[in-house]
Amino acid sequence: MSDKADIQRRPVNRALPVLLGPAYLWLAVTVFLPLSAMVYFSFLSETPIGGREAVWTLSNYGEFFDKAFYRTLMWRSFRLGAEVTLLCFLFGFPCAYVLAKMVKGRWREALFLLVILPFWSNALVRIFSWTMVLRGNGVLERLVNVFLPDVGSLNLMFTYPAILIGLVHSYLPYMILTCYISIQAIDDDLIEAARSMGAGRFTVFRRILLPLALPGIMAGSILTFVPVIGSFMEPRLLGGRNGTFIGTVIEDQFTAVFNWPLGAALSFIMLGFVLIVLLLAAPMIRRAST
Amino acid sequence: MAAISVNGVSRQFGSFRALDNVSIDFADGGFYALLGPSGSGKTTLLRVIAGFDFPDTGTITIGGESVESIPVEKREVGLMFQNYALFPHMTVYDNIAFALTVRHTARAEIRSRVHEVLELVRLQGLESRKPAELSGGQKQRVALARAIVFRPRVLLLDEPLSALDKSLRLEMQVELKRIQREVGITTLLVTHDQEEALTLSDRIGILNHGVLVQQGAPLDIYEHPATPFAATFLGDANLLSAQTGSFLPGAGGCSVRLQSGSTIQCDNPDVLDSRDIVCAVRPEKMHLLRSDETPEPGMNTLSATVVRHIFAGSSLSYELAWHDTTLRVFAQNNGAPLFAEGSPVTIVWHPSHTIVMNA
Repeated sequence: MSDKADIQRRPVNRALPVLLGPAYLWLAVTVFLPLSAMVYFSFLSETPIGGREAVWTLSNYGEFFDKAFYRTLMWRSFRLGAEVTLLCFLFGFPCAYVLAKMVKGRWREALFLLVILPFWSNALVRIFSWTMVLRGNGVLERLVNVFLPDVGSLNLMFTYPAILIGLVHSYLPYMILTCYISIQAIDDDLIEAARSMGAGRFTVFRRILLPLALPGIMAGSILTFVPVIGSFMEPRLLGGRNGTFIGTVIEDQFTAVFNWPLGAALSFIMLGFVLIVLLLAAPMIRRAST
Repeated sequence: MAAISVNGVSRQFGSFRALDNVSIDFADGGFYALLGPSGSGKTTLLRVIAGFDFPDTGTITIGGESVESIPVEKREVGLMFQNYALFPHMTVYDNIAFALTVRHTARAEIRSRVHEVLELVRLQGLESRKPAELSGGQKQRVALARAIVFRPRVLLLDEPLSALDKSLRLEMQVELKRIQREVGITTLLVTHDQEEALTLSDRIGILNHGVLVQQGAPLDIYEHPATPFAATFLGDANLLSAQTGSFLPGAGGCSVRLQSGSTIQCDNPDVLDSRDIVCAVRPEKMHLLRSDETPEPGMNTLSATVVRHIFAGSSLSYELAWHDTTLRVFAQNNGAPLFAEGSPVTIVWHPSHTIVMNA
């Protein structure tokens, strides 16, 4: 009896390392090794390149807690992450609902294409094109002035709203796609059943759609929130002087100031805060995945 | 609790006419079945009555109130879906309480109503289960409880039992009938299962191509179908085409000459406004004699050949070749010897069992 069970099991056991191996080896080389190097750097006093003498220190981590500047930046970045995520949800969820439940066939394909079209172009190019749109006397300003001549200059370029516009643009497709998948899985009969029991549109949304789409909303939120906190391209190009966030400061440490240890330490502190936020959200994520 | 009245309702989807001038009344407290093949418009009619869809023309009243422009959430109708449509993220209790919480019923009242209805469907003790932890029959009961807990004016059932296996389906039919009697709610059942329609309902409406073909009590429709479609859709029927103009009414009955040349007798039918006649005889109304036996006088007879017999335990059915038509005859398995395949037989039935219809 036990022999028979072994024979049936063995191929599966042998297949596992073959199937999992490449992916985990790849992750180990590309994620674990560089990350370990960064952990190592973050405890050094100097960037260990060009023969400079480096000693072990905790001062890079200490700096974050000593200077209010970094804490303000961290807070600004988290607020940016929360606001971008909220905006993506507010714009993305209705769009995903329409795609999943209200349009069919060719129209759905066409609308989907519009959602993922931005992915076909380079992110940097897209952000630069936003500067053309948002700058003074740019495309957006001229367009608005055609219809509302009294508005005058919008002054959007190099402001916080410009950063929001750029980031929402970059991450909206992720929210739409994850929400679409979970809304599509909701049986139409559930919505009709709720309506037959007297539920109006808002009740159907709050008590049926929202809880059942929660896995998609949470996935989309995490996919948006985490990268936005560390983002530096959109804040720098669209925010100008107002575009200082923890992500841009970390980038400066590596590319401009050449203080790798501080950059690495700030990265890990940011990672820590992200983990704390995800941990606080864990009950909701767990509820969404059951 | 309320009567439903549908008057001249039509509904068109593009070039497809789903409902064509349908008028039907459902009296208060009755159990009705809408029967028809898929695409016959029975589900469209249910959806129009429920308020998911609206008629292009015609009126619908529930309890005397005109509802054709009121959406489903304001119509106070209880609905039971084919796949149950229980909310997967809510417990049995919350599923049933949903309609009451939407109406802002007081919490104590909700609790007593939910328990009352759980008792009615015999599901006490399962309040905190999630739908995924229930069997098919239990889901069915929750769906029913959920549809009646808010005391809707009518209960609409869309093929509610088709997802259950046969023994469970029979059990649920009995339960459904019992609960409907206890609650006394006007109930409308959409089904393509003729047996279900016959067992459950007080009245049946048969739909085909968006037209209400016939309505009446199950026994009436079964014994006196108005069209060949009704005759074959509700139960089995052997159709016998008559020669045009061969219908001869007489004093005690009438005679029809079939296209094969034989003449059969029938009782005088109620209405006949056409020269084109089709006769039908139910397979269980016919019986077989050996070709050398003499039938009783006054009976209709046809000479046929046994093609095969199908044994089904308590009963058996014969397929018979008669001219170029295949006829079916049901027989009880009462110990009489079977007729061998290929043997000549005489089909015998009483003239009163000949159904005469307009073709």
